[in-house]
Parts: sequence; C-alpha cells; structure tokens
Amino acid sequence: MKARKAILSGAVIGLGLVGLMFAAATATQTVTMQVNAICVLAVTGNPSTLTVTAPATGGQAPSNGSNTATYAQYTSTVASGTTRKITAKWESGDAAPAGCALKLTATPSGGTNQGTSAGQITVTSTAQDVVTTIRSCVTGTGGSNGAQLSYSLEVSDATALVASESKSATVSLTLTDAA
Amino acid sequence: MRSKMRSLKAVPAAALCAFILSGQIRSATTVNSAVSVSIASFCLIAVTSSSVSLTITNPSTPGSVPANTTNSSTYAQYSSTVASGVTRRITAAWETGNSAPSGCDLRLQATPGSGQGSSAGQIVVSTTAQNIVTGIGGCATGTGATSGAQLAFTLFINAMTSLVAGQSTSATLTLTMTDS
Repeated sequence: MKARKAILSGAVIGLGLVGLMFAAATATQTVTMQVNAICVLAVTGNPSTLTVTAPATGGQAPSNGSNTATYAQYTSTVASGTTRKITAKWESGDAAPAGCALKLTATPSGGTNQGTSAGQITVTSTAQDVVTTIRSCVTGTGGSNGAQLSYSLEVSDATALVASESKSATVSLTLTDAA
Repeated sequence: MRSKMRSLKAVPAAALCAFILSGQIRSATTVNSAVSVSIASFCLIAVTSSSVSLTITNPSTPGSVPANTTNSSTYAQYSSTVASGVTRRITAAWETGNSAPSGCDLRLQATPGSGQGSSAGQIVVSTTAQNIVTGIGGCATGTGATSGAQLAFTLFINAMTSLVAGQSTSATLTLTMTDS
C-alpha cells in the first residue's frame, strides 16, 4: 500500500511539475517593416489666363499678367543623406507668346523638409530647379498647401508683341532626385 | 480422485464466494474508492506564421500621407488550463534592441474568439510588455488557419519627415501567455 501511495504521489507530483513547466509560454514573430521610396507630385489646377494689358499711361510698357493661385503638392521619402528637387520646363514645342517670357517662382510653405525656393526662373525648354533640398515630407492636399506657384507673363520685347495672340502652353513640373 | 475432490471443494468454495459477494452487494450501501485525478496546468501559445510583412508605399494622392499599412493574416493560438479563479493574459513586446523603422510605430490589436479571453485594444508595441488579451480561462483555441486571436498589425506613420526611403527593418516580437 505504501508503495502504491508513493507511486500515486509521484505521479501527481510529476503532473504538477509538468504543469509548472508550461506555466508561462512564449511565441515569437518576425515583423518585417519597409518604407518604400516615395516621389509623387501634383498641382492644384491650372493657372487662369495670363494677359498682357495696356499700360496706364501711353509710352509705358504694357502690364504683365500674373497668377499665384496654384500650388505644387508632393509626398516624398528619401534615403539618408539624399535630397530631391522640383524642376520646371516647357513641354516639347511649347513657348511663351512672341515678345513675352513666362517667369515662375515656387515658394514652399516652410514646412519641415519641404525644400527651399530656387528663386524666379524664366521657363525654357530646359529643366531648371524651382525647389531644392526636399527630403521626406508631405505637403498636404488642402487648397493652399504645398509650394505656391507664382507665374508672371512679362513683356521682354514690346516690338515683337502680336495683338490678340493667345496660346496655351504646358509647363512640366518634375520631382526628382537631386544630382 | 484428488482432482475430483479438489474440484468438488472448489465448487462450494466458489458458491460461498458468490454468496458472500452477492451478500455484500445487497447488504453494503457504500464503497469508497480513492481516485486521484490531476489536471495539469497547461499554458501553451503559438502563432500561425512566424513572419509578418508591412510596407509603406505611395499615397493615392500626392501631398497626402501614405496610408498606414496593415496585416491581419496571423493568429495567436493557445491552450490553457487554470486553477479556479485564476486567469491568464497574453502580452506583446519587442525583443531587446528591436524597434519599428524611424518615423513609424507598430500597432497591434489581438481579437480573440469567443471564450478565449478579451481584447485589450490596440497597443503601440514597445520593449515593455503590454497586455493584448486578458481574462483567459481554460480554453483551447483550435489550430485551424483562422483559429485563435487574430493579430492585426498596423505600421503607423507618426513622423513623415523622419521616414527613410528604402529602410527595411526585421524586428522580433514576443508574445507571452502568463498568469494574470
């Protein structure tokens, strides 16, 4: 009887120990998290017509047309130590009217990593920087979020102006890695 | 002769035993038998997949923050027996030295099946263990592909300007089932 009791007790203790061994348990998972390179750009719309109008006084140069109603909005993620920029140029075959030049200034909002203005450029068929040092950022998508695009149609040669000339030309803005 | 005598003796002896036994059955009211039963305390947990992948990609609209990426494809499965009045819980924590990519945090919400405990809601995973399921009593979740507590991971962007393009981080998350 003692032997049986001892065996039973041993079994009970053994089961108890097994239970204790499993009293806490863990499982692990490897979570792989990746941030892709993101480089997307849009504009809030097209500027309204830029019109060269008569000067206030005869003999003066005609007044320039301007528009500051549109914004470039972008989302960007960059690798460590790298930056992006926005360039502008005419689409192939496009140009300003005769005797005029289209000037453009892009002014980022000042938000972190949204870049700095490269100042005013005269749009040509060669890409020129309008915003530089863009890093990982998001401008937002509100009506006045992003880099404000200030267009100005300036008379460069009054003798070449053609009255009533109207043309639509396409400016191409590109967000790209800085060289 | 001897064998016949033995068998003759055996017959009355057997009859006597049968009489005694039947007498006992009829006359005794209770017989106690000490049966020792022990339920081991089980506490086992596993996951349906050892790996989870989350990638932040282009936003649908330029200028907007990329969508937080989610993964709800894995489940925590567990078997548990507890003493009366005792419950268990599941906690989650990064292994030491692990973390989410810069500009991000990993959020986790576990949703157990009926009778398998209660969700503790969404947590931001850190190196400190936090409850994701509580009130686990005796249960077995099953081992089917969608059995157990569904693990909903979200890679949440908390600082867009801190994101590093191309950064890929493999980090180890530990789920622990333990007594409450």
